[in-house]
Amino acid sequence: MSEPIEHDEIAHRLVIALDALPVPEEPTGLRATATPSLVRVPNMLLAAALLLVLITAVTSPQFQRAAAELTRYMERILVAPEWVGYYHDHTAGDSAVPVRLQVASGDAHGRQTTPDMVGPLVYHGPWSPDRQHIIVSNRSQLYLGDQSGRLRPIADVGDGYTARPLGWIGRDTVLAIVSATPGGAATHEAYKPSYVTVDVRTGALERHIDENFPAHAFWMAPGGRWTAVGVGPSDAIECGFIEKLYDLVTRQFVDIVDASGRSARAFGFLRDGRIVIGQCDREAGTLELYVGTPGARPSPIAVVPIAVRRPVLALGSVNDEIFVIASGPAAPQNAYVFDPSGRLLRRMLLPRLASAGAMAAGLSGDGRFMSFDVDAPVRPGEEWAYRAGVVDLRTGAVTYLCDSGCDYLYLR
Amino acid sequence: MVADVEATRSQAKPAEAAWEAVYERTRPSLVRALSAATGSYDGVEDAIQDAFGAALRRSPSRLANVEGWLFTIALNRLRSHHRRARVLRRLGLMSAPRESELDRALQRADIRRVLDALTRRERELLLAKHYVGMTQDEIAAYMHLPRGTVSAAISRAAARFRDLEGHR
Repeated sequence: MSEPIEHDEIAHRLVIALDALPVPEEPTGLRATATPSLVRVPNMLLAAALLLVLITAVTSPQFQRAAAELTRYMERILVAPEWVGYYHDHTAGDSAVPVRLQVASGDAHGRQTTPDMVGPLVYHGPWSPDRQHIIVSNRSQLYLGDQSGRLRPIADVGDGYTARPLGWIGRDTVLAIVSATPGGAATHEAYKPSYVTVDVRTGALERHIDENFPAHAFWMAPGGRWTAVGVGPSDAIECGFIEKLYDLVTRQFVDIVDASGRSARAFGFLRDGRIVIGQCDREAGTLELYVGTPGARPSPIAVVPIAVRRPVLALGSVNDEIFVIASGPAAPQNAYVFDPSGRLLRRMLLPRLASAGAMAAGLSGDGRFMSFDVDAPVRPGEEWAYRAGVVDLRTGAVTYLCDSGCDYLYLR
Repeated sequence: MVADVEATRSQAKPAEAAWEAVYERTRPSLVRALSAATGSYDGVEDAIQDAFGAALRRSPSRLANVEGWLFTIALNRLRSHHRRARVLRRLGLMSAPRESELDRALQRADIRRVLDALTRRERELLLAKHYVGMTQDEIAAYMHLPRGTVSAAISRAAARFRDLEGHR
């Protein structure tokens, strides 16, 4: 340093000492080339692009859904019971308590927890799309239930009215049918068919009057546009439970048809809102399966041999698997599992669940357990009764929730 | 399009020439300051070339203290170089540098003993201020340190330097 700019003692000492140090020869002079700007370096561009893709992926709804799935998976592995189900218990033997809401879980080996809810107008189900909550109602009050049986009130549709939950619109909104409570204090307005939508986070309730809304709707498609209308008494059931659909947007009914336009019955909805339709051919002993958009002709996907008048279908709410039970509960049952394109994923043998009768079935969110309601004599020669239970599809182990008098099991 | 490229190239030439002049002028003091700061001539030339590589995208006139800026950049490169070398030597992937005649000259200098007794930061700050000629504001800005930290650290370093010199 030949031009010290500060002549204090330290600068003086350093300059004198350091300027005496040798400096090596540098014959090449300035050989450096300009360092390219980071934005021109291919590796940096690639890294920036990858970072952008990563950020986009992490913030995408798909990734967040996958993360939620992973969280639930971890939760299931670490703390959650293998299965949890809400169901109706009619075993009180007290006409004043015709229905008691019960919760059973795999950890408790089918033993029950009883939320404080009894009465003739108690309804429950279905579980939310993320399987964290189930919607429950008792008269005018709507509740959210969790997997431990805790109920949290979220909204009240008004004194004199009864709410019956129908399904979820996304993760945060439920739709419930509203009707006048028999003998209640509802105004004449109550007799107009209506439904409510409730934001479960805030409890904000919106009432919709719809003259055409079918009071006997019992199921709703994901997305909330379509409701399923049942066929009524069980002896009238030809193949599936769903006879027609109601469009909440156009307020029109839509018939269920097969690929050739013949009247058919449906079994339920896939996650994208498509409907699974069946046509039972009893002479041929087959169930023709179709998948299609509501209101349009469906496409045939599979033909399943059946050994029962009315086959049972259950739809996987997480993976869209179509689970077909092709024989009755009185015998070991053949079950076929298809994907929505009709590819047979697996075939399994289910245990005998009852000595006779008919049944309905559902699947847990992870597809590992099947719930069933069977209408059959508990023992040969005894009175027929409804009975609900759970089948572990990996082991075939059956857990009955009661000897008789329990039904409407909604498995998480 | 070709004309644009040529125009860009012709604008770049004066800047390169200016930096060559800066290189000729500042290289000796940069070599000494960096060697004194790190205790070795090892890697110093490459660090200076790297600093000029980063500088060539700028005009010297845009920097308040060209030499101070080059010293800071080269010092950062040297630190990285020594860090990498330490790791490689620990893993047995690199042998220790052979001591050069220059390093021996550096070790013989009596200032070396005083500088070695300071901490790395004290040494670098004293050299930056009293040999390279940077102001405390420039040190704070170029080294990304709070102004108060720089001031306090330099005061402490100066006191220690005087104390060590008093016991020489």
